[in-house]
Amino acid sequence: MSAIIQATELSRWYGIVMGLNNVSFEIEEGLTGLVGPNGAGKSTLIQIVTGQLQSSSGRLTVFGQEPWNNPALLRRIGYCPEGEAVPKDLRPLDWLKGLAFLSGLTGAAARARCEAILDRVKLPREHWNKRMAQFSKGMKQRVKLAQGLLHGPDLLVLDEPMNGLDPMGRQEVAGLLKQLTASGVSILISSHILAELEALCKNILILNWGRILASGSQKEIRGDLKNWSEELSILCDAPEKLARRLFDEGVLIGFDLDGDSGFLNIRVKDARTFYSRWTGLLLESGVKVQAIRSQSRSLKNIFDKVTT
Amino acid sequence: MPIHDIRYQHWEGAHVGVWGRRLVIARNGLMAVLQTKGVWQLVGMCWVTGLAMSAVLFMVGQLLVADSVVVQWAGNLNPQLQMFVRLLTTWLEQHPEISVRTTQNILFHYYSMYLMPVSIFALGILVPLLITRDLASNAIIIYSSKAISRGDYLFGKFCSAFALLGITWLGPVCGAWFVGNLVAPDWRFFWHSRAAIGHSLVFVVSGMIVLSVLAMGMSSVSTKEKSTPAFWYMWWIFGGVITPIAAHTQPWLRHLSFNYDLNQIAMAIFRPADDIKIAQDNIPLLGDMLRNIKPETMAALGTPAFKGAIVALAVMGLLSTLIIRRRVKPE
Amino acid sequence: MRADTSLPLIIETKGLTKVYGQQRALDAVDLKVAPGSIGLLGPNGAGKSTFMKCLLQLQPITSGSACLLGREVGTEGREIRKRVGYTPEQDCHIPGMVGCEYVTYCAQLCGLPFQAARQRAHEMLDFVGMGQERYRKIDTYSTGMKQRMKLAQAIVHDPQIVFLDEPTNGLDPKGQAQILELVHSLWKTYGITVVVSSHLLHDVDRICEQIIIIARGRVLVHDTLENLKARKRGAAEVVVGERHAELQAACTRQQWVSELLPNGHIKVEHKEDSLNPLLNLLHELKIAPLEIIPSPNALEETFVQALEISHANT
Repeated sequence: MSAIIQATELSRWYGIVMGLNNVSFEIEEGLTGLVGPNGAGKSTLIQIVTGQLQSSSGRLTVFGQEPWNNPALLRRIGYCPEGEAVPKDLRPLDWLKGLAFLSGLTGAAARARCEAILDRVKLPREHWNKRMAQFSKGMKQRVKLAQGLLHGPDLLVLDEPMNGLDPMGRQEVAGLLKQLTASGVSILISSHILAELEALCKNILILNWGRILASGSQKEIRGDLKNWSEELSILCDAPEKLARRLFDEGVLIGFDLDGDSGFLNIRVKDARTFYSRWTGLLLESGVKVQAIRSQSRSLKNIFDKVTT
Repeated sequence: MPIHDIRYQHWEGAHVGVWGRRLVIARNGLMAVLQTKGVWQLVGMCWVTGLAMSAVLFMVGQLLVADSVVVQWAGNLNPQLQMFVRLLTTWLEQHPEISVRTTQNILFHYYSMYLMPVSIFALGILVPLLITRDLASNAIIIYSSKAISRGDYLFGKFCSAFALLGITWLGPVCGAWFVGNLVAPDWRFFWHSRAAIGHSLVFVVSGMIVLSVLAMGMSSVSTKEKSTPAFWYMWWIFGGVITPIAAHTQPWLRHLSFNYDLNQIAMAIFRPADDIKIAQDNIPLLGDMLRNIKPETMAALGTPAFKGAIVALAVMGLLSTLIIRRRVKPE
Repeated sequence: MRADTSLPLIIETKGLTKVYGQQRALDAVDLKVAPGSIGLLGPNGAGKSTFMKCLLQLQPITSGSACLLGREVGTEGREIRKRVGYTPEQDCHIPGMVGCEYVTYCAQLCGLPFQAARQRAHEMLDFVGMGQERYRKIDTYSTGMKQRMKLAQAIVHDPQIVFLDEPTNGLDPKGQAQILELVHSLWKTYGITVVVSSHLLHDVDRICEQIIIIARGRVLVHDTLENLKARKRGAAEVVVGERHAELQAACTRQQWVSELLPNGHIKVEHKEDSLNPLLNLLHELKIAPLEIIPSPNALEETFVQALEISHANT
């Protein structure tokens, strides 16, 4: 898998304030999620990738070139910033046509492309000729997405792309992003909604305090975090029976029963031997299992573990 | 029990009535402006002028007493002056109704008018803190979700402005009247000066109501804290510039200035022309001096553009109200 | 937990209608809501926010009636709002004050006397986890602090019901978890009804017991989350460490539809009412499941389905 974005000892300082501190990573093709608390350096990273900021030291390349002062490269990158960054007094069709002209399209071709893109982001036709001051957050978000896609980029950088969208809208955008990935466009999404990133992205980049804490596929990151105790939660119709059975088998070091949710939370002695017998134990105990959860596997938990 | 429960606690106390909540809003607005730099100094200055006014009233009061302090001072300066003062004093003593009533009326007319621009200036400092700031930070929606109505909110804001004018305008005027008559030679001064204080109260309170409404309107015009006071002062200055110019060309244009309109209302209430005529006819020496006033000036003093002023202020008030209604909404 | 037996229904609307010009934002909505933790869902511009605004009297009702806490919203607005809290979605606060002054002021606006207001303001700031920041001006606060402040001013007067509009907006994952925990505890531990309006179904799933879906000005769904999930039983997301392809092939042989998701999980529609048949399959294949999440997108699917049905009916 070739790397789309490569950073080598990249730093960005604002006087003594640190934006990014000596980070090195590679982002591959496909959908990558960028995660981190507020003030972690995500905006700085995005601004360097989209050529808005120059690094203080080190190097960052996108498709092998540095983005700073590189219009030819920027033609291949699309960017949707955070917030409601659309010109309020313009109409979406007008704005996109203007941007299309900047990209070299003219006349009828520009108009056709703009309309096609607006259709793709599912902005209803009746809003194409209304001023964007009247738009809801979700509609502004769609127009922003449209301008990012307009010039057919190979890399799309999105900052909180689902903000303000209702669940249907979120599904549509998620679907659109998956389609784009399938057609060869790489996408970098920065978001605080971990559940969505977990569902969408294969690869994750976790930042905090200007440093990279983890990078790679979700699977790899989970694999690397070895020093966690194996904790599981099981929802079934007879939790005491199951607990007694597991305890008798000698696989547990502790358990407790959550009265509110009905989950049986267990802590296992030896993960390896436990998992080799796991399904057998469950079936033999004779309980009807409704759910098996492991909080330690969620992206949220990884994030918490890695950022403390 | 050794370990105390410091988690969320419920509250079952008695609620304060709606007037209490209105008062809270008013207090909040007043405190905000009093915390601004320079405002306390401005307020202090107004009260100092009140003291000065009391001193003047004392001096005038002394003129009505034979061999008073004033006569002695005049004697120290110049024997001829002392003669003049003694003559005046004797006459005035014999006609307290005219002398006290007329002089205090004229003095309070002047004093109320003197404090008006100071108050307008102070109101300009309050304007951005009144409603502008709330509009800028979307506070209206927070207010709307509390146990108050839009009317309560606006009433509270009105009271903030009214209270500020109270401490820069009404307070010093009433204080000057009270202290000035307290140091007068006779208790009857309080009675004889009832016209002065009555006119002052009517004028100042109406002026306060009008200016508060206009300030609220101006405050709602924009969400920028620098723009609204700028508009307020610009309107005031514009009024000051246009009044003398329009006097010669289109007299009705003068009504665009709220300062001019309030001036006219003051003249209609205090009726300085009548006082001057009484002085001209009755008071020796001083009356002669006053006869030198030009007839045009007398005519102007005698016919204030009262109706025009009322109409103009009503229109401005209505406009303010419309602006406030449009801008101050929970959306 | 405070049980208020005199108020069986916390929200009751009859024929609630709101018309904006040509558009019927709310169309004769009839709802009876008991106290609890309620998730209010709906597409943008479809009546969800209008519904909340009408209850809070931020918008006047066109026709019909709405009762909040047993009182008519149109006539007793001020009285009702003594016991109602609201955290708006947008950035808003009353300017020119430090944190604790602001919350005290908000309490006073709801009718608390000054001493009680000041005391409760600090208690609520403790509750939402604000430390020394409470003595700084609100304009200097970060997003997380502003959200916590919004919550503090909404509960300082001890409301019986709190409306929260997108409470986790703009917060990072830690902040989101903290706010959700606080909101969850309001109902679970202290008996304050919460109505959470959010597009983030995961949040709603976590903390809400009742779900109301409003779309096209009508109530499409009003049920408990448990019932909704029960209807969606029969699908599960399986997390395994290896041999994904084998598992999928086995599912196909069982005639269960399976899908490999981007995060490496496998979604299986087994159509059974417990996981045991699936466990059997895994046991036969000798694959150990790390997690099996039942009805993973129950809420989302309910939402989409409800909208599709409503679309088909119009």
